[in-house]
Amino acid sequence: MSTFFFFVQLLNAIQYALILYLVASGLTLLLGIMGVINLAHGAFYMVGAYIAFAVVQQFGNFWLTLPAGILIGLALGALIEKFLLSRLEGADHLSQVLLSFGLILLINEGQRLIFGNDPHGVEVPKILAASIPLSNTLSYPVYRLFVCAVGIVFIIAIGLIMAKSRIGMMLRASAENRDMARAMGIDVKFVYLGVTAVGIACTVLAGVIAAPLASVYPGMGDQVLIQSFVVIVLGGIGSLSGALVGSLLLGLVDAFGKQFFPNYAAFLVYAAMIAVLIVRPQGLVRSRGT
Amino acid sequence: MRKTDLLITRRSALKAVGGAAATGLLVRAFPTPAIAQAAPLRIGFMLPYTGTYASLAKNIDGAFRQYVEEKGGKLGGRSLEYVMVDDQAEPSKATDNMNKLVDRDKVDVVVGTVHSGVQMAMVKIARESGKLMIIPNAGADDATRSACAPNIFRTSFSNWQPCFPVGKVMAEKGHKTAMTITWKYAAGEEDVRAFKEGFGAVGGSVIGELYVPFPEVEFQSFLTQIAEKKPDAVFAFFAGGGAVKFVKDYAAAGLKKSVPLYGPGFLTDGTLQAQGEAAEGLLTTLHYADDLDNPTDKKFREGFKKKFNADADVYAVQGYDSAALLGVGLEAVKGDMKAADAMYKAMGAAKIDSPRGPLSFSASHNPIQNIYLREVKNGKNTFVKIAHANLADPGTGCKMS
Amino acid sequence: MNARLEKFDGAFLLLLAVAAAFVPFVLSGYEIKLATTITIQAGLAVALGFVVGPAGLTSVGHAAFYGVAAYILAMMSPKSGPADMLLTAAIAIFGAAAFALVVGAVSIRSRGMYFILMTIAFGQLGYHLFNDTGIGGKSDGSYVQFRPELHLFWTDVSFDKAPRFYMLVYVVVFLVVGACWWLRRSAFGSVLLAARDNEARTRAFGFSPYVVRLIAFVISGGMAGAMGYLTAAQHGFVAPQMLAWHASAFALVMVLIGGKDTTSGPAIGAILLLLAEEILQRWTEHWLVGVGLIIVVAVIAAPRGLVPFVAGLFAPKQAHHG
Repeated sequence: MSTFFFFVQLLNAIQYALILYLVASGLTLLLGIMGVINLAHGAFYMVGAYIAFAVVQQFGNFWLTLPAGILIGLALGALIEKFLLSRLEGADHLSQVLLSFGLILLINEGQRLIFGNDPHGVEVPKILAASIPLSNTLSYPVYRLFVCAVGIVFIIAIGLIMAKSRIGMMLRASAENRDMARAMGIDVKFVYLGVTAVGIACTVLAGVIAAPLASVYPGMGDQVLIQSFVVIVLGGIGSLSGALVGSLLLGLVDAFGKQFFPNYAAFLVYAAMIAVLIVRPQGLVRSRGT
Repeated sequence: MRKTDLLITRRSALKAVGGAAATGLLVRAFPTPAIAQAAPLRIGFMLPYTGTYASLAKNIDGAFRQYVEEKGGKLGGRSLEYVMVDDQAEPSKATDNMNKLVDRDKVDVVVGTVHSGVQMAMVKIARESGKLMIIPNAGADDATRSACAPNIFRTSFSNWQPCFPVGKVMAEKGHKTAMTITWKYAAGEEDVRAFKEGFGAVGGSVIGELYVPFPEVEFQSFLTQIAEKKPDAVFAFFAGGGAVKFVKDYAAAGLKKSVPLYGPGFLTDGTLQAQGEAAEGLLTTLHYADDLDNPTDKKFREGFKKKFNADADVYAVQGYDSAALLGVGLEAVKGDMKAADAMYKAMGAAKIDSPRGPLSFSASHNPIQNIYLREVKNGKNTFVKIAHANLADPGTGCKMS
Repeated sequence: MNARLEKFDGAFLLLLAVAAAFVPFVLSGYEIKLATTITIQAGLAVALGFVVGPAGLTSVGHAAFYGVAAYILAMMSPKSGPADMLLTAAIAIFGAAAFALVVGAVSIRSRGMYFILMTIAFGQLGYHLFNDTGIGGKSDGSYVQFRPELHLFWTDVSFDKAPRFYMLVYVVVFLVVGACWWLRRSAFGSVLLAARDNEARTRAFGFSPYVVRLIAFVISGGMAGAMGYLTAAQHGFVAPQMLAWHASAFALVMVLIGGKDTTSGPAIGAILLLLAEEILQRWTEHWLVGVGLIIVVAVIAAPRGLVPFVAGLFAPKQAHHG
């Protein structure tokens, strides 16, 4: 393998890691702050992709999909917290696992009823449709670089919000100790509503942004769900920086695993994860929330 | 008092849920068999009505019924009734589902399925029960090789068939080296093996085989490897959402211009709308194309369009021909399925004027058919030429008892 | 578990055991095969309920143990004749238990969400092992050509006939359910409960919560393996999807619907869910909507499960909840 292609694979790894991070961050928020385990994460990602497909088909403009995804995601999250999750308060993770499993079935069938079973493509917006030539055979799609940029902006923004802002402080307090936060006058119920809404909106948005890359088809969320779990377990539950570390590690194992051990690439991902867990059961980055 | 109250509320709550399901969510109820004068023949469809392959199931089922309707609702003088079981493309439930048709619904014929894993479980029961089974899609080579049986017929293809001629096509274009890429699962491996056999026969050499874990769709790392090794051409097999993404990624990585992409037709069938510009100009091989323009095909496509307001595809053709094949058998025995031997003999010798062109059957009950070279033009898989005429699967290891 | 619930639990079990005994005499053909499937799944649910309930371990990876045992039978089955049932079953169950030991040893160190995620990961590892590497056949699955035979000293017993195979399943599931019932009420069960509810106290009494939980996990994994073995023998076919997390989650749904704090609950959950699936599938191709609604409603309305709910209905004065 030449140095040039080594760097191309490295770029692949980082680019994949940033997509993974975008996808996994919503799940991390729910896990870390709310202590909610959400198997329907992948289904929400699929919802985002289908929103992108529907909006582009209706209005022919990709940029409209972003606000649409955010709004629908927020609404979906708020509804789910208000009518389902809040009723589980105090219940164990088992109920959450099953509730979200039920949601998967409902969302998947809903998708089939509305959109049918055919795979669909979402056109890359015109200004990002080009590719940058890297060698005489290979070029890099600009849209992938755009997704990288979104990922990086997202990382910085969410890091600042969590560390510096009042909202971040409230979130951390609620995650640390629900009762204490309540005593200090934080409206925990409202915080939870907000977190679920934002967490699910993040996931939906990730689906929207990934749609032109991933194409849109039934069951597309399944892969994503398991990979997000791997990312989170690797990094440490509820830690956003952990999720970043986990994404990078998974991106590297994936890109180079496929190059050097192609027959065991999927296997390697889980092997890496179990190896990390044996050494550090709480993940690579210790979390605060749990 | 309280007790009874609660019991009642719970019961009525359950009822309400049931009612909601019945009125609001029922989109299409499965038809309950009407009591007929002369017992109609029971056809059991075992197809993936839900999940990734649902659109295939819909077209197979729909075109089968289309054929029967065109024949006045009867085959060999018998009217038909249908029972449907959703196999969800889920191999671990395949035996249960097949039992539903064979034991519970007592069907006379099983038509199914799409997914090879499910198919192999069905083959086992078909062999044990002796029930007539027509395979309208799944390509697992073994179904008409080592696991072949007198009561098992296939109207679609063996995985070997559409892939073997690709090598010849590549050689004609002057390609000497190739790489392969597919999902790491049985169908993908069978496809690659068939391609290598065909490419090797014309002196080509395969310089790399890439296997993507199924059903993963992150191809970037593999595309980089293709760019690094620079083969003359690439042979790829993916289907459905994976095919859409692969073809788009391949084009976006700039490889489409430097390393031409070939594959069996599944790469561009039912996916062209989603693939858009990225698929234009791709060459694929299959036993069908969108513009074969023979009279049967024209009539079939018009009928399908009228009935379902959608364009027919290769899967619909396979469903249509399944009905045609059953018709040949029933015709030969005047609708008496007890004369199984005579019926199977007639089916094995059937010469069907299919929308895909002439269709007959090999000794192992697999189609003998033309494999066409097609090019994607304006979002259609257009006919270029016959890549391999009347191609029969080798049927290795088939012993009909 | 309070005394009333315990009485109800026992009564339900007895009822189920008696009713199930009549199956081969009352039902025939397809119905016996359906009853066989449901009985096996009930056994799996009860085995899973044993770790979810008393041990407090929400395993979303039990299908892996179930599937591994099924694959062991498939790999050990000769192409030309039936395998020896006692030998293959022993190895399959032992293999499943050994896998559970590895998974448990690593996973039980963590609790709550981590445990859930790790069991999912191990389950997927098992799935990929059979799906990707070609061990035990290809991703399309592999056959058990002949149903295993029981070799006794004086004769060989074949289970090819559906009623007889059902009776075999009945006996095995009866033993598994009985063992879970007994274990829950034994001293071991009390220690498990204590470890779940108050870890420090358990330690003070000289028990390691980790070890007790691990033992429970391995027992349950072995039982799940027995069910996987029976499934492979029943269908003559195994596939990687048997190990995947969807299958594990589905088994958990059964446990929750019936009630994880009882032995009869998971069995009743399995029966209800599979019957609902059977009926819904006849109705509509969108039957998964029905299953999804059942799950969501069950989680919200009766999070403790049906058996505790019914037992609660008969409580003389207490407030009704659950």
